[in-house]
Amino acid sequence: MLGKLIKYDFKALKKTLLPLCFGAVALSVFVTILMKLFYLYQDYSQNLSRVLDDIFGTVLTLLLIFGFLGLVAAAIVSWFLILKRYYQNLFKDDGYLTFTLPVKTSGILLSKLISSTIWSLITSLFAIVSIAIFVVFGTSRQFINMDAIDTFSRIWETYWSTPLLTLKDYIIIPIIFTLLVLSSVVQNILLLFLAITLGNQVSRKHKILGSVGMYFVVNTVASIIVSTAMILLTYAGLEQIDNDSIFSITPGMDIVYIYLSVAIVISTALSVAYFFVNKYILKNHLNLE
Amino acid sequence: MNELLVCKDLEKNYSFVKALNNVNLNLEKGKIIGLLGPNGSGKTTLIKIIAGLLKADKGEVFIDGEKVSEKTKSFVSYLPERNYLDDTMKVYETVDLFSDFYDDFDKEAAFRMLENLDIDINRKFKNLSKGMKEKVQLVLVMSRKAKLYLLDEPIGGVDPATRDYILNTIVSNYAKESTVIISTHLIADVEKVLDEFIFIKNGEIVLQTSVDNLREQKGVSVDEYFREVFKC
Repeated sequence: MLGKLIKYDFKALKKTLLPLCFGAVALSVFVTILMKLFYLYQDYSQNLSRVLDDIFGTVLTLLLIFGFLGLVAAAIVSWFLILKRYYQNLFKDDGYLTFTLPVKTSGILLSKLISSTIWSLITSLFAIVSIAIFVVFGTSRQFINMDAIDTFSRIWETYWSTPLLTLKDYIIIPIIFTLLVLSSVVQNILLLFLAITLGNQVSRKHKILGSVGMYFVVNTVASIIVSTAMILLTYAGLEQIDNDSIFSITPGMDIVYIYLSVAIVISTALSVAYFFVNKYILKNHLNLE
Repeated sequence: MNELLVCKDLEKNYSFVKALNNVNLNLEKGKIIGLLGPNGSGKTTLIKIIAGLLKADKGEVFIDGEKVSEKTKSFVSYLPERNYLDDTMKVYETVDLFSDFYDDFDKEAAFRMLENLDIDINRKFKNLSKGMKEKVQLVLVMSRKAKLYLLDEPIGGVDPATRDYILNTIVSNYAKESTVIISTHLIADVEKVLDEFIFIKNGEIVLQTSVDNLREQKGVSVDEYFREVFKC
């Protein structure tokens, strides 16, 4: 049943998010073409008229700003659409069907989480592609901006040839990086879901306001718990070991990995907590109007 | 055991209002039962508790011996008094959705009924008229071979001709072992299809009996008796 739930959640998100993704790419292509036209104009006009140059320059700057704002707006709207699906499918009229399907509450929540996570990764990918199109094609007189490509390839080469990193590091870094991104995306989504669920509990009239308020409440409570735990752990850790041991026995990147692993574990622990609190409320205190 | 639905001492409060109080019900299999009462009497609240959308503050509900859970949802077919379909979906997609989730759903029956109603299955749900939407939902709900049907105001917003069609659909489609609960305040319209009825007033059950019993004992129709009991 979970597979079927995911299928419908995924489809519903695709309906609204895919056009947005293609819109972002189209916007980037559009701005890129305008840049090319501007370069063409500059090449042929040969400073014919200062006034025209100024007008073109201003228009172009404005377009660039709007293009950038458009991308930012698309990113915000994509989050809004993901949360809207959650809200409408659970707490509005659609909820009458969602909660009378023969599925477990945890299945409903898990399906929303998985489909939202996948879609937030897809939209991020489209955002990267949109920016890359502009950087590679839109920022130079040549068809392709070779400088930008050179810079990327240099960073890439440096990464692969730095004496600081060993084979072990090249295996661990992608794993840690992937886990870090995934755990933080999941944590964020579950926090927002929980805020919406709580928002629906605290206020019947001002659900959105309630959700926003709950977001800050939950976030603050979580931060207090995490920082308290960190202080206690550090304190306990310092009591346990000699001052110099941890730093001397863990050379190179290991200390970074330990630090990042702790971050992943904390994030996962928060996610689990958000999930089960949310499930408990949906199962025991669901009161659809 | 011929009991399909048992409600024990149900109580439900909304902040300051008592929506249900001391509700006890035993409903048998194979009956069409009217849940009748004025607006705000607790009909929808009771149905939502049975469907699993609300939690009772006190008391228990058993459907075919099971407490309300995802298991009971697999054999309870619920029609709410609002549009509960994702209205960006096309009609045939909503049929697929029901068929995906409910094992007791008869897809062919659903498509046949939609065709009889001249509903274009390629249209988006949001582009249908209000009456059409209600019909699509009813078709979906009645295409299930459920043990218990919960129909909340199925004829509330439609014209008399459509009312007859809807009632016919209900009567001709429910499985003979099943029980149908129809909540409404349009009593005259549903009276002819009912086996039993329940009067509910201010969250309390005031009467549960068969239509024949009422006629024999009081010599009045359910509609007439309702007007008497609920006189303002």
